[in-house]
Amino acid sequence: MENVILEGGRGRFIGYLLALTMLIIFLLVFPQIASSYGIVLVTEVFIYAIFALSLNLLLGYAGLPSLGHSAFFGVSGYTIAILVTKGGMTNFWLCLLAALLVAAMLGFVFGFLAIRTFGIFFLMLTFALAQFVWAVIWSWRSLTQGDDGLPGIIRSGLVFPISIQSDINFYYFVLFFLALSMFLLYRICHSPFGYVLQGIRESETRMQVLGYHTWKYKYVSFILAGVFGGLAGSLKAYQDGFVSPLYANVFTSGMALLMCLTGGTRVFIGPAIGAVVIWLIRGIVSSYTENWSLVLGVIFIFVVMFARHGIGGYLIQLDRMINRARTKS
Amino acid sequence: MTPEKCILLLSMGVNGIALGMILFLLAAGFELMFGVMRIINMAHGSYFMVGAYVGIFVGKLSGIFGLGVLAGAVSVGVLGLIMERFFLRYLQDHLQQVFLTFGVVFILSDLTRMIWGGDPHGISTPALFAGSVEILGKPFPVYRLILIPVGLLVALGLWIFQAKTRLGAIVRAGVDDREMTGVIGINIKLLSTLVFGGGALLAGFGGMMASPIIAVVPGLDWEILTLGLVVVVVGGLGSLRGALVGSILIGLADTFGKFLFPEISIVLIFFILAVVLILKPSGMFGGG
Amino acid sequence: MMTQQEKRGWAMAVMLSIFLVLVIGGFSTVFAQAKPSPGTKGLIKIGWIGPLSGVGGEDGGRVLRGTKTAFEELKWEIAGRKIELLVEDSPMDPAVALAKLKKLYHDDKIDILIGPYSSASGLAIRDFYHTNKLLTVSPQAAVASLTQEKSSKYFFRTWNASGQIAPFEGWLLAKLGYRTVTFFAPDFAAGRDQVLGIKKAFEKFGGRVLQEVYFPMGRTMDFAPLLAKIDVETPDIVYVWAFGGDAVRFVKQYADYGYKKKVPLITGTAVADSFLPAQGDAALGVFMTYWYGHTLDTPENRRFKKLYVDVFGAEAAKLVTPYDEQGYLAGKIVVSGIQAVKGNVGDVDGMIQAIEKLDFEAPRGQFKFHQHNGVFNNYLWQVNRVEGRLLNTVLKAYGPIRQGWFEEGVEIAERPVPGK
Repeated sequence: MENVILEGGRGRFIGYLLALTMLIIFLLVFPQIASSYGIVLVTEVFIYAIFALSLNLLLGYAGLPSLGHSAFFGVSGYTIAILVTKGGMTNFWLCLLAALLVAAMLGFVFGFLAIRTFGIFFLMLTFALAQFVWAVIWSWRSLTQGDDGLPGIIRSGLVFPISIQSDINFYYFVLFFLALSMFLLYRICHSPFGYVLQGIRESETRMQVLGYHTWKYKYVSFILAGVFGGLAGSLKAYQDGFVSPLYANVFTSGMALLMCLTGGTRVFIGPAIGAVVIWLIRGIVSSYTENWSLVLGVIFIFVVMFARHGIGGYLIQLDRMINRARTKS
Repeated sequence: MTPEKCILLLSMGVNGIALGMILFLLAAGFELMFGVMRIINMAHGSYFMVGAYVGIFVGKLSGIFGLGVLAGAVSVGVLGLIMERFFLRYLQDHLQQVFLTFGVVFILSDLTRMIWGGDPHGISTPALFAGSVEILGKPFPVYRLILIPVGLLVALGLWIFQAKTRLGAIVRAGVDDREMTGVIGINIKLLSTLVFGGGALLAGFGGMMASPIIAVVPGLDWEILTLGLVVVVVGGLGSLRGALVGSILIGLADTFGKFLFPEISIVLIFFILAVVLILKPSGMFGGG
Repeated sequence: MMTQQEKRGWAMAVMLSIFLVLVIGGFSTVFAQAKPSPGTKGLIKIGWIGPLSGVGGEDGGRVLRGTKTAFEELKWEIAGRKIELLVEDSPMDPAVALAKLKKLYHDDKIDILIGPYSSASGLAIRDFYHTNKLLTVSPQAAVASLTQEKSSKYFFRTWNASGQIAPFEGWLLAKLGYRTVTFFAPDFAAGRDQVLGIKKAFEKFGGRVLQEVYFPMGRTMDFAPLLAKIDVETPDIVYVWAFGGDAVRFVKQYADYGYKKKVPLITGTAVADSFLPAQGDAALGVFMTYWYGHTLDTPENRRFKKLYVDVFGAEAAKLVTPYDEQGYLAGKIVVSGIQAVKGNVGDVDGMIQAIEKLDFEAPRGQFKFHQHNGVFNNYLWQVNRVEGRLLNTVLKAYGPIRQGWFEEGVEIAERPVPGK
């Protein structure tokens, strides 16, 4: 993985810092000038960015392609929904904690089963487990109301007096979580733990020969990815005010996968870029045509065929090209 | 256990096997692609669906069911040929292949809806096999019974191809070691394309054959893909025997599950899947 | 043939330009703010939300067609003001419905809303239209609470409230002389409500329910094991409530396994005209209750079908479905409201009062509102061969039927069949 920013020399560093500052200012100012639909759309982008980034911990860093990430999204979303609508719990933080705990438990159980496989078999197994979760959610009508979903999730119960009822406030709230998640995930990915994961991705046998208990690392990464995935699911439940079995559907997993691939799995922010691109495409294209699935499919194929490293890969190439030009002149 | 109950259960058994045959037609092509070429084709359900759409269209237009079957199978076969020749061939990484076929699912799902609309499409059972026979006093549709020998014939054909002819072994070798087979002088590329096309053809064939029973409607691609994946994973990826046994097992499980516990029959299927995967991740007959 | 370098260069260029286009396109979407429609001059903006993609997209498209026809009739102009219809696709997802409504209201500044389609979406947007005093006419959104506990003076529904038609079906079954019934319905809230509603009335009028069989909606390929329950305990008649793929499969397999010869089949949905081409002869002779069908011979329906030929061409008018009709109805109702206030859509109370008093001939027959919910006739149909194709034809007519008739003990009268 390229750590271009910190290792590239001072000029580069200042350039990126400037860009980052402008982005931050833009994100902070955005809701004041955007349309209400735009605010909702971008808040969803943030949530999916968290989701895709969490998946990439497995896909990009550990080399474990999971088609079952939607299970965490769904299970956390439903935990929130059930606690709020049936349990009457209004404290946001308690609900979130519960949802993350449930996600961790799911990761604990599923991880144990899934870690024994790799590659295609891992893909199939995670798919199977996620489908099982979906089927349970769908069929357990007394708890989840099945296909009808659970409406009526209200955003309330923060410690400080600012309410998150309004879309604008919720936007900032989610942005905060995005920043927090990115910070934590970045630290994880660029820690010794993270480097071991990358080593496992390159060659598990080599790591084992070097003395690492690779299954432990894979297991922990699975649970961590699940917890962040659950965070995304919880936020989405509050965003929509409603959960449905779609949360746990394989389609949701597939979207996350697409976001990671499009944005680039080898760059840390790749999945976040992918989330922006894919979700924006969906939001914009759906206003013009009902056939946005077609557009998504074409992009998917294009990315897989011609842009293996996604947009992130190109940005790195661009960065290299610019710097080569600069050093030449 | 009253005699009526016995007859009912027996009839359910036959039903489960017939349903399993539909699943087998789907799983067979999938297994061909994986067993020989190590490709996991997520678009296989979509192929099944396209075969039904095209087949019904031609069948109704011409009035000849057989023509519809031919059209459905061949059109999807061609689709498979194109996909392999122009797309899959250029991807070495199996994971990349999975992703690509995933994208195809999205495209085909919208394309079929654009061409044929959102209403369900169906076709009547061909006159030759219409009607029902009495099995122990209970009417049973002839067409479903016919599917059993059809499925078994397909199984036989595939078994001969993979075990008895050299073609299967050649393509397998080619997938494992391209350079070698190139050196020996076998046109591995052509063979790969043909095998993939063959698997697709089977899916299209299955879709059309199943259409008098299950019709075709948007969403069938995901519905049948899910069941199909359960079958191949339970049976064991890459095993023809596994595909056959798996389909029949799942067909029976679905039938008896619905008969005894209709509301949780779906959970039952995935529960079986999860259990098999936990006990033996490579499936019943799969080779790790 | 391009070199690897060139290919990569092109691919990168494409990717980055897509990215740029998106960013720019994204900007225009997220920053778009339409100008408000000023008082009595300028455009009247009417929002429309419903499913146009995914499940229900086909029928949603029909509803939209019907709605457009209502405005097309007046050449998109009322009281000297032009009408603009702003359409948003909300594919059966209540969160999307709410988001799109917010967009239509805050960004596009609509004056009136037609929609939503699904019950869940209706519940999701209820507080929004009520708080914002937005006149909302829904062509469907059956969940009863929207016109009962959660009713709002701003909301009207042209469809039946759930619990309105179901007891009628129960009453009808008893009236037609059936003593026992077995139900088949998909396992979700509306399906269970439907069965409950029929059961209440059927039992009250002397019937007995043998079994209630619920199946996973949209995921049942093989109904044979479920149908086998009919062998276990055979009823006088089988009632099925299903749509889409489920409906086609159920009816076909019902005939395949010989049940059609043994036990008559009746439904509230499963042999709708749009499913008949797929079902083929398996559907012949099956009964259905519904308030609209292509062959309904009311003078308004004849006019409506001719209108369709003019607007959409002969091909589209070959099959006019209840969805077309309910979209048209919703449009006409909105038109009446606007006409009553002479185009001054700021006078929401005025429009509401006018709509409440409506009593007119719709293609389905006489229509009016009772507690903001549609009151109309219902018919008993049977699938027959008409002019070479399969269609439902009317056997009997009943009505009018309104929300709450069953609880209040209102009598239902048999009426003359339109056109006979």
